[in-house]
Amino acid sequence: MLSGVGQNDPDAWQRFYDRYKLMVYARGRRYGMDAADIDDLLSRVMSKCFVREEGRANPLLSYDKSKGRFRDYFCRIVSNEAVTMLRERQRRREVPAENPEGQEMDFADTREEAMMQKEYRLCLLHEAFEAVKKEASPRQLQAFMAARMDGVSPKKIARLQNVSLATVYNDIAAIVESLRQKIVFLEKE
Amino acid sequence: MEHLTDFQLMEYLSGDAGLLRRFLCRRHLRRCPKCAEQAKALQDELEAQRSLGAELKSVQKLAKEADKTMTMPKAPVFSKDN
Repeated sequence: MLSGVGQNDPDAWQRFYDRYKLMVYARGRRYGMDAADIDDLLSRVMSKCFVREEGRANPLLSYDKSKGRFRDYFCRIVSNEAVTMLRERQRRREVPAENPEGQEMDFADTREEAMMQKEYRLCLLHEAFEAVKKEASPRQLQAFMAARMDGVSPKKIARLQNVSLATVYNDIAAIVESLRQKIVFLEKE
Repeated sequence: MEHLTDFQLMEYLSGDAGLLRRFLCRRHLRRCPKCAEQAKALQDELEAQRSLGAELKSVQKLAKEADKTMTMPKAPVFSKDN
């Protein structure tokens, strides 16, 4: 995906945006930002991710592979930019004093690191689920969503879908397996 | 002793089994360490699936909000006038 983004591939750009927008959004929300601020955060993050080079019309990814995984690099940029924005707002006295996030933010600490990992997992899960939705049969998907996301009993699903209970269990297991495979694949990407 | 099948265990663990089957299953699990071990593994898997479902539910909600709120920026790599 990253090499695609660097090679002018619109699909790669769309996937890049789809994968990472949630991370920016989740962070913005966690820091109490409104829609305009989140959009601002997104453009700041993007402008940090890409650098302009003399003589090249297309900016390049600023990411250096030797410095670790892109997702960690991206997370750091999101954190840094979000914190910078909040500090700027604090200086302008726009942030309420009781906002604890605005007062103490150290992205080196373990709490912050864990939160970043959680936000990244959300992005992966979302992407994996969107991919699975395109491939799975509607019946399997319906069984999974009803049972595992909405808490409907498999017995009731079997009745509604007019299939055996074993089919419902198998359908749920098939979706879970596809999801896990997609997550592993995306993790490696 | 005949062991319980994965289907029977799933039915029991998911709460889909009827009263009699629940009773028989519970009694069997008390006596059969092999099935009890398999039941524990399936229970763990069920819990993992439920927690995956809960995570997905919150992710779907977040993604909907993000789509309403955020505008996809132009790809920097395509904007030649930048």
